Amino acid sequence: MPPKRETPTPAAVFEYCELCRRNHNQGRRHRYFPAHRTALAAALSRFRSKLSDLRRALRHPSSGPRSSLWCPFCSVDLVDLDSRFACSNAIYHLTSQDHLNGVKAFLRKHGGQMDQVESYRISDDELAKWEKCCESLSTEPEMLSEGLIGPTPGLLKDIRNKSTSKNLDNFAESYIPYSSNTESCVVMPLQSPTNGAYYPNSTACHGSSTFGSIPYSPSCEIFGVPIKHCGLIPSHEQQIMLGTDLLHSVDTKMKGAQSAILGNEPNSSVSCVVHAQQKISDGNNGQGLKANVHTGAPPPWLEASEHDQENAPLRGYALPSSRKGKSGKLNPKRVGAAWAERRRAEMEMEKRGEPVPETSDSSWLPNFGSVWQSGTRKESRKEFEKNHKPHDEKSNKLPLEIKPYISKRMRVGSRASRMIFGGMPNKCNKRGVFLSKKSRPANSGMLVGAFNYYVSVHLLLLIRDGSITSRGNMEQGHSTCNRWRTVLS
Amino acid sequence: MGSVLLPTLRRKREVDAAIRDTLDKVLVLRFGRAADAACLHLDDILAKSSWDISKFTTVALVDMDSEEMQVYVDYFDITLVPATIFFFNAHHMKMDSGIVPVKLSDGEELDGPIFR
Repeated sequence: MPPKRETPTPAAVFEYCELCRRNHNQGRRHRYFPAHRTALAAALSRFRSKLSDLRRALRHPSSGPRSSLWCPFCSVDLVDLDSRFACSNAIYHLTSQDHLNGVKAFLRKHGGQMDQVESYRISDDELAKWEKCCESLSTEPEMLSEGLIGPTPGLLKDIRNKSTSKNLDNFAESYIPYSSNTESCVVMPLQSPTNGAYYPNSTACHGSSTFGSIPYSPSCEIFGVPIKHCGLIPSHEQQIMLGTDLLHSVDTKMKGAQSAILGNEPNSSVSCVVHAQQKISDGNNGQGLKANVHTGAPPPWLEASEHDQENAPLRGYALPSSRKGKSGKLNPKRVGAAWAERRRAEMEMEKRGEPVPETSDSSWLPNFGSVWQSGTRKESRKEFEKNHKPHDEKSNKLPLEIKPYISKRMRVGSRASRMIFGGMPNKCNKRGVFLSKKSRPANSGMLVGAFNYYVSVHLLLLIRDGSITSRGNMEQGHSTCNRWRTVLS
Repeated sequence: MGSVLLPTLRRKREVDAAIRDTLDKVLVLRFGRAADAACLHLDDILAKSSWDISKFTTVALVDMDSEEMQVYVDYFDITLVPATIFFFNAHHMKMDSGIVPVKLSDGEELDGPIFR
């Protein structure tokens, strides 16, 4: 058999791959190499994240600092120079036909999935809605100009401290514009009760004060309009609302949710702002007079205890609460356990038709509101118990008579002085001196006491220094004491 | 207003009864209005999820426009609509929420809340 002729392959043309940033002669096979696929995936995910930030700006247009976006498909740097609203150039470019062609060409060249072309551009509908928002913003009254809060890279410093750094990184890379008023938009829970007063520049803001601004959070995407445009400190109820919504919308596609919100956005924002403004004005008028959860006022649902008997036929309005079959499994230390047991007993009595005694005991009442204070419920409960401790303990007197403290030195010193007056000791050890009971001085006048004190101190120092270590050295100690005595006399 | 499944409370005594008589179950009260789109959206979600959580949670809607409800609106200092308030054994529950990254089905990452 004739040997196979190996046709010499022509020298392949070197070409440069922008994604891998290297020259190669692999031709069309290059796009299937793992390194190239990795680089392509990374570039597309980067652009996708920037595009998602841009979509947020699309839903909430605001005037802010200029931002720039690099379009890898068209190799164009999109900088908005003279437009009023941020990212406008980028939005227009992403909607254009040129960008669409560029995306298709890019994906065809580098081997991307052609069915994801739409995810890399902005549709005409979204552009139309954005333009509509811009028009409405430009015609809105000036009172909203300060209240308009854009997304901020500020830290959300409250109990959620662990995730703030990560959020900061994400926001720093984003192209979302933010208003100049929001440089320190941090919401902090109030450290002290405000007694129902509303202080826009209170401790709720970290650093320099702002008008109750709210840091932007993606959870606002679903219902973000009321929060952002109202410019109020979000209550925990609002946060809970956001959380509840986001939990249920995690499974839904963002696109669908976005389109639903965009349609409702302009109307709800204006209505919410008006409502919020009214609320603020009402709050300011009633400063210090409001009895609410923050001031620790009694809850309104407990005031109904007086009308219990009237409302007995209205028991039907009570929502059905299934009682656990095995109540023993319930945690006895759960919140409101005592209340639940007592209320259950009352309800059974009512069912039997027995008169229910009015429960005027408010000891179980959680007078502490602590809604706006940081910390867990345990801490607020401890604070409450500490403040409302019974004062019986203060009335207890100390059984023992208070005596002045006498230091050991004084006690030892007195013994040493007794030794001096009483003569040579019968015994002495290496360190100390032996004092017999007979050698105790009879008088205990002030002068003698002072002399005793000084002598004892000196003796102790000598002992400590090792001057008096044996019987023989006692004479040295005595001579010292004699010297002292002559000095004092 | 709201959903067919969720009861709507318009009188103060109804809310009081709901709070006092819901024992050993979390009570979720949504304070809002029927005219608000965000409220309707939230109501829809609450209605859909109420069955799933019915063993430990009771959900109800409160009409903020009612005059008798202003007591609660003032007590909780509700300014943003809608607002959700939690109770357990007639105790108002303070909720701590955090932000953690949540990855969606299409690969997009968002910041989602956590509760503790």
